[in-house]
Amino acid sequence: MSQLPSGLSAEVDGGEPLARYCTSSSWVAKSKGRVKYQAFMPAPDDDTSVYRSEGMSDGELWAHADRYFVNAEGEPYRIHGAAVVEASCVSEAGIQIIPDEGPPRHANLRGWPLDADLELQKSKRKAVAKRIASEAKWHGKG
Amino acid sequence: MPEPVSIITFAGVAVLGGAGCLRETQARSSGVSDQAGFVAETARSLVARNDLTASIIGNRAEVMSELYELAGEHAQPGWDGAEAPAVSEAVLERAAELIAALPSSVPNPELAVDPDDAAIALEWSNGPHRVFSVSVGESQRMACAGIDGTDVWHNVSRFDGATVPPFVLHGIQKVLG
Repeated sequence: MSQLPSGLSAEVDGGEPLARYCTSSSWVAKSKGRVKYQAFMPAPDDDTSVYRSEGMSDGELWAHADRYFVNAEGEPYRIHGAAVVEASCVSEAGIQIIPDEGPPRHANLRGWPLDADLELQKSKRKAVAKRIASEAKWHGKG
Repeated sequence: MPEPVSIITFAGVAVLGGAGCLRETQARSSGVSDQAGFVAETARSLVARNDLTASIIGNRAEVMSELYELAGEHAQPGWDGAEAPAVSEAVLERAAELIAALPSSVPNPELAVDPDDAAIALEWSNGPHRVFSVSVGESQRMACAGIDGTDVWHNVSRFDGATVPPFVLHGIQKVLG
């Protein structure tokens, strides 16, 4: 099995945790610790960026974000926490997990529903993202 | 030096007085920040349209103030660390209209901003596996989706600015039981 620069396998195991850094406090219902679908919705480029977080503590997750989840000027984005979901939940929702190591451990969630009607496309994507979010756990940052 | 409009001040006044609070904000608004100007301008347009009565705002004051605070926090593009656009004034107004149009029997929604198009999502939940949401974007058409256990559904509903679509009310009822 081939290895990536980070040392992780090029194939994502179903039991691997995937961490989605959350830049909006509105993506979690804090009083209930419930992750909302927005945490997994794809960006306008049709990908959702995640990090393979097997073996990482919360502190290591935040340190990883400080180093690699940065803007064009190299400044870390402000994150409120991370939504962590098992890779199998993503696959069962019909979404592919594509390792993409620019940053170490980085992967893209790809293959979101497409439709010529953009609102209908969005409603389909929301349904998929809701399914994934329902299985995710919230890790709040401080 | 003109006093900037404080979103916290706006929210506090909103609890007290409904449409009157919006006029107060409009009159006092000489905000020096982009965020303050954004809120003040939206308040001005809502008062001018006279769509929101004092009683409606009074009943939804808490979620309305949360709505404006949320929009202010997402007023700059790229807030998600990627390519998310900023929340627009039109989306903010439309979301306020939908909230105001909700029947009094419907609990206040939770609010969030969608990273793909900066739509404002209104969501109702009864645990992580019973959730329904509607996304208010730039057009009258709203993307809706729900999950109830293993049952997942989605639709597009049209909001005319006054009447909540039946599909939305049905989705809320389905998850809240």
